[in-house]
Amino acid sequence: MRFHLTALGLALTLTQPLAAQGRYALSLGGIWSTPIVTDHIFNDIDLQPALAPVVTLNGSWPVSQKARLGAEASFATGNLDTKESGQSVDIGTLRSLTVTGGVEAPLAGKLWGRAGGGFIKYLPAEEEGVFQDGGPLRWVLGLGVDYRWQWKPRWQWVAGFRYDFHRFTTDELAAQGFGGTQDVHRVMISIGIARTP
Amino acid sequence: MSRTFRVICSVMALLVGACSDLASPTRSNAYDWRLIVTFDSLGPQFDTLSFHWPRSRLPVRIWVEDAGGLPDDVGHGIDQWQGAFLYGEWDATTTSDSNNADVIVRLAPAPPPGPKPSAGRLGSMLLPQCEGATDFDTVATRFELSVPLHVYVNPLVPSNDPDLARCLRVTTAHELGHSLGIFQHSPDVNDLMFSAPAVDPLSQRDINTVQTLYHFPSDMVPVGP
Repeated sequence: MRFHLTALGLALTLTQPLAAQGRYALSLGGIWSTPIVTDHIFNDIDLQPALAPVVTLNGSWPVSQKARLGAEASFATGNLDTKESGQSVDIGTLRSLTVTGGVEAPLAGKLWGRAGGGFIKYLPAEEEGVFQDGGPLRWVLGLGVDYRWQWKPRWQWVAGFRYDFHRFTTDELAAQGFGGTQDVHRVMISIGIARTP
Repeated sequence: MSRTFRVICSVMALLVGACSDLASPTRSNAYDWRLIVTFDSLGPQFDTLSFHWPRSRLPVRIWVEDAGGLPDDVGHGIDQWQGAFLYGEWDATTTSDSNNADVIVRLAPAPPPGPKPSAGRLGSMLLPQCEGATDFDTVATRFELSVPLHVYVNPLVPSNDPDLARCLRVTTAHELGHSLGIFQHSPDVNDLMFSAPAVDPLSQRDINTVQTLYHFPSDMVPVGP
């Protein structure tokens, strides 16, 4: 029991300064994605998430004088469109949760860069179509730039730009004879506030 | 810029550069689904026509007679066919109003064929337990399909026959396949749309056929109810 209390005390002692040095941000924005499936049946068919609102939580902690280690989670929800012969049809709701870890470093002036990797989990509202066997979990790589300026003491505005990349497929697509994976590129812009140390 | 940051950016650029694309299946083993007509209001005509439900008519409304477990069989059939589509091309739901239905499913023998030359029937029989039929009418011209379509599923053995339930389930799914636009039978015994269906799940040929059908231009439009 004494050991547990000692360990807890030590952990609190170590994490309190770390938490105090943490920088936490909340942003709202929009995310655009390239098609997650391209197919051809007489015509080209694209399955593509529509431009969607996204909310992002970010936390970062210093690891050196210039670099910070960060974690970021983004949740987007929007329509899923199928496009064929110039016609676009909304066929449902698609949500995604992206969680990445990365390194942040100052680029120039108020510009900060971010590079990281993690996972994206697709969360379709209905398990049908290409998501009949559920939404896949895929690895994701991302780059980003933040423009930060002071608002109040310990508070900043943050305008963010993110680009990420992953390779998409589902169990259903594989079962129906699709080979390989689809390259998916996503771009997000956001505006938010950050609490600084 | 920190060294770690530069390393991560470089690794990412290498990974993104080594890209691959999703490769579509060929779907080359689809069988012919098109309706062969020999008569319309202008007299004898020979034509091969395709029909699929337009997105504006989805979900297809199906009225089901509440007898002999037919609602469950129709639900099973809807689930099976929905599962064949990747892009929301077809959807169906049951309705309680037969006057407002696109498809009517009854547990009964099909009535004797009418005298209308524009009417047609696609029958199926999984001997000896049950039989099925789908009646359709291309109305005055061969480019209009009269709605509702009528589906009949008919038991041929007493209800306590151990193989009857499976026969009704398979036959109902087969007839629903006709109602969504497969107006021919598959030549392969391993397909649900074979004239004497013996398999329950859709084969890859059934799936490829219905996917191809729903991206092929439709010659007919549904008219009514």
